Amino acid sequence: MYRSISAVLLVLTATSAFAQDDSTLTAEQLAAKFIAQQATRGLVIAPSGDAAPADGATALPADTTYASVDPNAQVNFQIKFAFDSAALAPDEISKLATLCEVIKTSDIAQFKIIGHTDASGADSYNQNLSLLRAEEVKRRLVEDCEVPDTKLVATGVGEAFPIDASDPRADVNRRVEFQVGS
Amino acid sequence: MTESRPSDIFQPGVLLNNTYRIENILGRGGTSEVYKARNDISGRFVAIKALKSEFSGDEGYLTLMRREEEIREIRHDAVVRYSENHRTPSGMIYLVMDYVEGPGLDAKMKQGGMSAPDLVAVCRRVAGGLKVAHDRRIIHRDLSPDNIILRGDIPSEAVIIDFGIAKDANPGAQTIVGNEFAGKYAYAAPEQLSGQTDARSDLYALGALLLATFRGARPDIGANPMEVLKKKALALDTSGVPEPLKSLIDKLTQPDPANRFQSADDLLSAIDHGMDERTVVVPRPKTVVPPPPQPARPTPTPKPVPKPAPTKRGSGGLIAVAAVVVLGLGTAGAYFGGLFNTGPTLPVADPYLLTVEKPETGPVRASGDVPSEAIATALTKAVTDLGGTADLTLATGNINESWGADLLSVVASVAPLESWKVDMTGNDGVVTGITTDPAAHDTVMAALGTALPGSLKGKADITLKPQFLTAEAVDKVLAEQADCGPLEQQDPPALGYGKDDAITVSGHLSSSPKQVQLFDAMSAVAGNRKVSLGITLLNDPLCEIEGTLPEVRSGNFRFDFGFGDRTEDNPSGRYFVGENPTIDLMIPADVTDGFVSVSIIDVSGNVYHVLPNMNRPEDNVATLRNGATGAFLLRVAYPLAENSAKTIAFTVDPATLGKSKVIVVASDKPLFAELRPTTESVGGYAAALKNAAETGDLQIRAIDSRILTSVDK
Repeated sequence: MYRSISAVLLVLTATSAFAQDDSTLTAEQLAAKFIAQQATRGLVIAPSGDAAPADGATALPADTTYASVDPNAQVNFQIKFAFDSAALAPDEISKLATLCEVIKTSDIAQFKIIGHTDASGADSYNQNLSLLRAEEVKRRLVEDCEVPDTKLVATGVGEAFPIDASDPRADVNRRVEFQVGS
Repeated sequence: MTESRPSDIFQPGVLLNNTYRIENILGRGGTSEVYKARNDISGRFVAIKALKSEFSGDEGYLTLMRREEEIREIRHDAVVRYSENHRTPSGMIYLVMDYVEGPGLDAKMKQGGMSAPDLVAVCRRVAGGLKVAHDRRIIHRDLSPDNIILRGDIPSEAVIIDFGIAKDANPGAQTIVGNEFAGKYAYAAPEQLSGQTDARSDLYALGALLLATFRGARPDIGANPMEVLKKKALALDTSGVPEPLKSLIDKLTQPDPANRFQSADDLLSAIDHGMDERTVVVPRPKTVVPPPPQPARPTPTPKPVPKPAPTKRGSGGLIAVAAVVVLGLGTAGAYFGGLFNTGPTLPVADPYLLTVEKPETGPVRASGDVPSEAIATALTKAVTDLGGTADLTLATGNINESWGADLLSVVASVAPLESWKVDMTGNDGVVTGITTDPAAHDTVMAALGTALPGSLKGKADITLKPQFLTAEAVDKVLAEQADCGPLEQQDPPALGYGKDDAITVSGHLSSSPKQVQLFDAMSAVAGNRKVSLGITLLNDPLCEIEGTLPEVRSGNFRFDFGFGDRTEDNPSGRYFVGENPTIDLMIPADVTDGFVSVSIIDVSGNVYHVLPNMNRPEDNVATLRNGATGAFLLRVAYPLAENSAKTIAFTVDPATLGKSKVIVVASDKPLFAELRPTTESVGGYAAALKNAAETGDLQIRAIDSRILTSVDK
C-alpha cells in the first residue's frame, strides 16, 4: 500500500475529555445500553415525525432523520477516520466485531449508523463525508459480518452535532454513532 | 534399475488412491509404463501398469486394459495375480498386479544361462500356468525371458508376468525396422508374423526362450525382416542341449504349429513321461496328440518333420516384407498374410471390438478384431490410403457374415469427413463424425443416417459444424468467463474466424486459475484455431472497479512514472519499498475542455483521489491548462521534498505489495456532484461510480489507466 505521508493525512489519536468510546464495552453492556436507549427515548426526545411505533414484525421505512440522544445514552464508537478520509483502517474494523454480534442477535429491528465530522471544511462537503463514513461502517458490517442490509440505516449529519462543542475541529468529533432505529 | 525420467507418468514417491506409493519404474512400453509400488497399508509390493495419458481417453485402449484385467480370472501360481483397473483423479488409468520378487530369465541368460534340469523345471511350471490361461482362451502372445520371473530364484517357482495384451496395439510400434523388428520377434512363433496366434504360439515361444536361456544368448533371428522370415521357417538348432530338454524344445519349436505339442497339457504329460523314464533316451515324445480344443483347427499331423526347409511361401514373403519396409509400415499382421498360412485357426473375440477413427488431430487409425485376412488387408489399405495405420487382430466372434463388407462400406462413406469414428461391438455400430461441409454432411447422413448398411445395427450421427466461428459465439464464451471487467477479441474477422485464423483475447482476470479456465473454454470453441490470451491479472480491488467502470474508449491520456529523488523515468512502473513514485498525467493536445478525475486504486483496497480533492479541487481542463496548448503535463503525485498541504506524495509501504492502478476519467462535467474525500474504500468508490452512472446525465468521454507495481527489495 502507499501510505500517504503528507501532513494533511496524519491521524491523531483522540484524547479529548469528552471522548466517550463504547468500543471497549462487552456485548452484554452494549446490549443493555441499546435497550435502555429504546426504553427512555420516547420520554426524552420528541419523535421524529412518524408516529408509528416499531412492532418489530414489519419492515421499517428507512429513517434518516437524526435526533440527538442524551450524551449518556449515546452509543458512540470512536471509529477514527483520518482527516478527509472515509476509509476504515484495519485496526478500526476490528473494533466493530463485538458490536456486530450485538446487532445480529438483537431483537431490535433497525439500527441507525450516524456519521459525524469535525468542523473543518464546507458544510455540504462535511455532510457528504459524514454520510460516506456511516456507509463505510455499514458496508463493513454487512459484507464482513453479514448483518442483514435492512437492519442498518446509514446517515450522515455532518459537523452539526460535535461531541466536543467547545472545540468543533477536535478529532474526537470525527466519529460514528449508533442508535436504536425508530 | 531403470532410472526415472521427468516424462514418466508417475514419479517415485507419488501416492495413488491414497494407497500405492510409487517406488520406481520397471519398464516403458509404447502404450504403457510399469512401476513397482508399495501398498502403504499392507506394506506389500505391487506392480502397476499405467496407460499413457494420450491413450487414457481412447476407448480402444481402455478395452484392452479391461481385457488384461480379465487375467485375474486365472488362478495359478505360475501366473502373476492381477487386481483391478483404477483411475486417478486426473483420468490416468492403471492396472494393479502382484510384484514378483526374483530374477527374470533374461537376467539368468545374461549371467551365462541355466542348467538343463533347472530349465525343465521352469518348463513344467510355465506349462502349468499356460494350461490354465489357454483353457480360458487367453494367449500370452509375447512370452520372452524377461517376462518369466523365478520367484525367490527358484526354477520351480517361475511366474509368467505381463500378459501384455495391450502392447501390440501400440501405434509407436508401427515402424519396426532392423534390430527392433528382430527384438520384437526373437521368440515369436513364425505364424505370429502373419498375424495368427493361438495357444501353440505360446508353446513355440516357451521352447525358444528355454533354448536361449540354456545357451545364455539371445537367438540370432536375423538383422532384417527378410532374414527373420527366412530363419523363422527353419527349425531351431538344439545341438548340444542335453535330453530331455532337447526333445522338448525340438517339439515345442516346430515351425509348423501342427507339428508341435498341441496343448500345454500335451507338454505336461510329455515332461512327466520323460521324467518317469529318465534312463530312456526320448528323441521325441511319442504321445498321441489329442485333438486341440478349437474345432476349426485341422487335424494335427503327428508326423515329425526332421528338417523343415524354407517353403515356397517363404520366397513370396521376401517380396511382401520388402514392401512393408518400403512403405514404412510395421506390425500390421495382415501384410504377412498367407505367408505361413496354417489354416483358419482364429481365436474367438468376445466382445468383438473394432474401432476405426480419424481424430480431430492425428492420423487415421484402426484397431481391433477383423474376421479374415481379406478384410484385414482391405481395411488396412483403406486406412493407409488416408495416411493412417492399422493394428488388427484376426478373430472369429459373434458377427454376421457380411460384417466385413458392411464395415468397409461404412468406412468408405465417412472417409471424406474432417473427423469421424466408427466403433463396432459385434454387429452394433456407433458412427459419429464432424464436418464443416454441408454437402458432405448430407451425403453421409443420407447413406448412414437412418441405418447402417447390411447386417450392421445402429446409425450415424454426423455433426455439421459452422465453417466460421463467429465473433458472437466467442463473445458468449468471453462473457461467461469474465470476472474482472469485460474480455475483448482483438480484430475479429467480419465473417467470423476461418479454420486457420488465430483468436486473440485481451482483458483482465482475477486469478491464474481463471486464466486457465478461459483458455480451456476458448480452446473448446476454437477447434484447431490458435488461441492467444493477452490477459493481465488484477487483484480484487482492481477487479471491483473494472467491473464498475463503463466501457469507453481510450482518450490517449498517458501517465508518466518517475522518482521523487532523481530525474529518471520508471517505464516499467515497478517500485521498491521505500521509494517515492511521482506521477504525471499527460493531457493530449486535443483535450482542451471538460473535466478530469484522477484516482489511484491501491492494492490495499483504498482509493486515493488525487484530483480533484478538498485541497486541490480544480478539475476543469481549461482552467488547468490556463491557456497552455499542446500536450499538457499535470503532476498528480509529488516528490517528498515538494510536499505541502495542497499536494500529495506517496512512498511505497511494505504492508501490502502488488498492483495498484492509476486511472483518469474524462467527462463533460465533474465526475461526482460532491467532491469525494481524498481517501475512501474501493467499495465506496465503486458504489459512487455506479450511482453516478445510474442517476446522473454524466457523459464519460474516455478512461485511461496504468498499472503501478510495488515490490519488495
